[in-house]
This record gives sequence, C-alpha cells and structure tokens, in this order.
Amino acid sequence: MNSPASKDARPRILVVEDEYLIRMLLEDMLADLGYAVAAAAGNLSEARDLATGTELDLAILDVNIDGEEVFPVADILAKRGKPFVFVTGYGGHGLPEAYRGRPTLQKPFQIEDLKTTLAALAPV
Amino acid sequence: MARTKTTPGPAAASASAKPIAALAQSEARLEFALAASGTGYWEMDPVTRSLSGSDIYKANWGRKPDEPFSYETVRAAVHPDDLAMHEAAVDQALVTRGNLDVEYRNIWPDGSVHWLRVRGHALYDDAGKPVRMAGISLDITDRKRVEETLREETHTLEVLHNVGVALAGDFDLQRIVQAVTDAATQLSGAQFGAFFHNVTNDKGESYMLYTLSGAPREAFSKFDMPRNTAVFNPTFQGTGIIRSDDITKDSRYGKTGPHFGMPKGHLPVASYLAVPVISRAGEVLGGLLFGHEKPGVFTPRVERIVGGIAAQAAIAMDNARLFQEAQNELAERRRIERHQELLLAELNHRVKNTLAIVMSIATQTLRHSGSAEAFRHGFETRIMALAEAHNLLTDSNWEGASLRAMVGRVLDPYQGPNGARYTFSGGDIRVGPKTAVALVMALNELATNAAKYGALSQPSGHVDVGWTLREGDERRLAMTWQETGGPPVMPPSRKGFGTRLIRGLSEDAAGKVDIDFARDGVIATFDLPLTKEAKP
Repeated sequence: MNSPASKDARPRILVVEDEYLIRMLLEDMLADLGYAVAAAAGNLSEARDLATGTELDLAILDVNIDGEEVFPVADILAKRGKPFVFVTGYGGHGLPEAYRGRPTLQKPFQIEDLKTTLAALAPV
Repeated sequence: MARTKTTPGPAAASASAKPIAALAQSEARLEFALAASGTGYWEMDPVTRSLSGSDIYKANWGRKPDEPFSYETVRAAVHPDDLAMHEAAVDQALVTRGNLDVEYRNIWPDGSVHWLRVRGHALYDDAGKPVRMAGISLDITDRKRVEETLREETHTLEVLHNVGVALAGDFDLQRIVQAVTDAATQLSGAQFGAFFHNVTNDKGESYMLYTLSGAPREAFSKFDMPRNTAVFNPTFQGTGIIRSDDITKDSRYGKTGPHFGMPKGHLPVASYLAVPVISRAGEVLGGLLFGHEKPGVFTPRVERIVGGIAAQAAIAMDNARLFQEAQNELAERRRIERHQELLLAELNHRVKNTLAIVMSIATQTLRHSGSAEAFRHGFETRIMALAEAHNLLTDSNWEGASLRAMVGRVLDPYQGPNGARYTFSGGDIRVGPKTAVALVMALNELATNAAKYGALSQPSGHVDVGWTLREGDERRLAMTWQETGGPPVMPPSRKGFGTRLIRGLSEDAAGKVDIDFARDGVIATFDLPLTKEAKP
C-alpha cells in the first residue's frame, strides 16, 4: 500500500479485518495513536501475501475472516518473529494452544484498549 | 444307555438242606411273586450256554411261551450296539463270582425296541467252576422312555435357559438373531433354519435380512426374499404359526408364481415350521422358518418350544431396538447441544462485530459532523440502513437478500406528493450477505446525500437506479445510480465519510465504484462480483 517517507519513524502496522467499517475504525484509531498503517487486508489470501512480503513492525488480526480462521496468517508472522494482536468477538476461547496468552482485543474495543495493547509491543 | 454292574454275590446255595415240600412251597411262592411283579426268570448253563426261561422272561423278548427260545435267540435279539457289553457282563460275573446286573435293548420280532434289566448270579462247585447261572429279567422300557423324555426336556430347558440368558444381556441385533436361529434349529430337530427379520436403515427404510443355521449361506443366496404367498403370509403378517408334516401336500402350497412352490435348486423341504416373531407393540419383527427333507419331523412339542423362543426373540429384539434408539437419541441430543454451542458462539461473534461496526459508524459520523443535530441525523440514518440490511438478510437466514427489496427499502422514504421520485429497473437478483450490507449502506449514503444536496432535495428531482447481471467467468452486477432534475451539483470540497464508505465497501466486496459529481446530477456506477461468499 502506501510507502511512508523514509524519515517516518512511526511503527508500521498490518491490519487484517474483513469488515470494512471496523477496518476503517482501526485505521483511524491507529493514525490518531501515531502508528502508520503498512497495509490492510479484508480477505485471507491477500492477508497471507501481505504478511509474507510487507515491511511491518506488528499486525492486528481479526480472528474470523469471512468465516475462516486467521491463524495461517499468524503462523507466517510468528515465523518472521513479528508480534501480533488478535481481535475477536468470540471471547478468550477459540484460540489454538500455540496462541493462548497472545495479546487479544475483544470487540467492541475503545481506543484506550488499543493504545495499551499496542504500547506493550511497539511503543510510539 | 445300557449299563452293567457286578457286585460280590451271596454265598453259594445252602438250599439243599431244606425239606422237599418246603422247597416246593417256597418255589410256588417265588413264582407267584415273580409273576405278580412282571419279573421273568431264567437259568443258563455257563458252559454250554443252554438257556431256559419263564413265560414272562420269554414275553420280555417278545416271544410267546411255546416259541422256541435259546441263548442264540438272545444273541440275535439283543440290540447290536449292546451285544458286546451284554456278553462281557456275563463273562465278568462268572469270572469274578459277582452279580450280573445289566440293562440293554432288545429287538422284538415285530421290530420294536424294548429295554430289559437282567440280574443274576452263578453257582459254583467245590473246584470253583460255575455250574449254573440264574437270574431275573424286567422290562424297563417305560422307565427308560420317561428317563429319555426327562433328559430331553432337561436339555430343552437348558438350551432355552441359555438362550434366555444370552438374549437378555445382548443389545446387538445380529448376535441376537443368530443365537435365536441356532437354538431354535437345534431344538426343533430341523435340518436347517432361517430367521428373516425386518430392519430399518438410517433413512427409515425397512428391508429384510436373514440369518441361517444348519445350511451354508450359498444354499439361499441365489433366491429372493420370501414373497407374498399363501404359505408365507401367515408368518410375515403375524397371523399364526404354520406347522406341516409335509408342506408340499399343504393346500396353500404352490399357488403363487413364478415358482409355484420352492424355486429350483432349493434344499428339499417336507416338514415345515414357520413362527412369526411379534413385538410387544404387535409389530411383526420377522419370521423363524424351519425345514427338514423328511416328513413329520416337527411335533406339537417342537411348535411350543419354537413359539417360546420366538417370544424371547421378540423381547430381545425390542430391547435391542430400544437400546439403539436411546443411543441414537443421546447422540442426536449431543449433536444438538454442540450445534447450539456453535450457534451461541456465532451469535456472540456477530453481536460483538456489529457493535464494533456501530462504534465505527458513530466515530466516523462524529468526525464529519458539524453539529450535534447533524451527528444525530447522520448516525441514525446509517444505523437504520444497517438494521434494514440485517432485516433483509434475516428474512433469508443470512443466505442473501433481494436486490429489488434492498433498493426499495432505501428509497422508500423518498416518496413525493405525486408518487415515487425514483424508478428502478433490473431483474431480481439475490446478493450475498456481505455485498448486501455494503450495497444498502452505500445506497443509503447516496440517498442521504441526494436528499441534502441533490435530486431528492427538490420536488422536480428524480433518481433512477438500474442494474444488469453480467454472466461470464464470474457473475458480476453492474448498477448505476443516476440523479436528474436536481440543483447544479458542486463537487464536495473534501472527501466525506459517505464517499469513503461507498468506496471502501465496494473494495471490500472485491468490486469497483465510480462516483461522478456531474453538474446535471450525481452518477454512481457500481461493478460488483456476485461470487458465492462465505457467511459473515
């Protein structure tokens, strides 16, 4: 997507969320919090490509993407050593063993929740 | 069976000391006692085997008093299977100076078989040589028959009991029917037996299976199942037992085509017994069929026994079925519970997702609203549009919504005093949930904008919505929103939420949208794929 200026020191974030309105909310919140959106994806195949090939510092992953689970994308990021945050409406369950204990945001969330969660992984 | 026993005999006779008259009297008494008790008397020379016997003794062998009778007669009449045992017993009694006590069968001149019990012992001279052997005989045929019957009944009861125990503890239908078939075939004396039983498959269809005993499966596998014939009907309709000494001579036999009797290659059957197996509820579960090539094999007693087994089989099969039904019900209940859990999780997910969407709409609307009133109006119409989209989708179980209904719902509020201020044209197309939500939200933005600044802001304005379906590698929807008759259009000074929303939603549905703020009226052109999409 957009390539920020080389001087841009803001942490770069990949957003994976299939609901456009929620993605829009996330993008606006991230901008308000001083993060740069490295890329955004609304479906799994796009998300996989972006997770593999985009320069990024951290990712926000909606667990349910059009009825499918986002974990293959998380696997790619985990292999790259990139931190990520899950966003889910299912509550704390639903996460596979390997990803329990990963930071998780419950929908709906406030900008303060997002700020606290991200600050621990990539301080602005 | 014959049996033999030798015990030490009494000391050799001291009768010679008694006076002759007393002896004669004693002999007469003895003869009377023997006759009264139906006991025969015999004497034999151990060396020459010359044999003489009383009338009763001869009668025990089926001979009249005046008929010639010798040891050879005995040898010829003793049942061949018992002869060696009989001779050995006599020899042993002589050698050991013991008692002869033996039971064996003899065959009368009329061919009938009778049981005899024979007792005796020998007298010995001073040198210890046997000089005379004497004893009694008793016809024990009746006792033997009773014993035999008792043994048979005991055996029958044992088998019945074992079947009962085996059936009571078993819920496996196949094992139950095999145990029943085996036991009934064994007890009936049939050459072969079969249990034809009705089973119901998963789809609730009924069909017939059979289990065999006493014959290989190949003996029957080439034949059809028992059909609707006069011989089989009473069994498979549960009206009663058929027992026939010779079924081929039964009036019901051979009346139905195409075989008119047993099909070619069928094992020969004369004796025939068929017992319906009926559940407690009166349903015919199947039928037990037995056959024998000889006529007259199945007695009333066999009929009673097999009837008893059929009753036990019905109970066991009922139990097995109830057990299976209970298992199925439990499995179904577990399946429903799992399904409900999934539904609840899905509902939770959707509600949370929708709340996040509402939050996004509120945040975005607030950013672009100059006043509280503008926020309230913008927020309300957007939430209402979202609700409309959900209503349309709920009507179709979230499988898709009608495009006509969607456009109608969005434009419905814009009726003028002279009728509708909009027209729409296009076939009724079903649109997947995600595209439906995007379209309703986007159309709502266009309508709101038109009401504020465009064609719907004055009475002369008109909106036309038209669409076509383009079939190709993928089905795509081409839709145009065209405003006419409104005030001159001014392109927006900054990118508004509505425009961003329309573009974003279209992108999200993997489609394209073009909004042309033409001076004569806004024209929005949508190009959206209608591929099968996953439910949100």
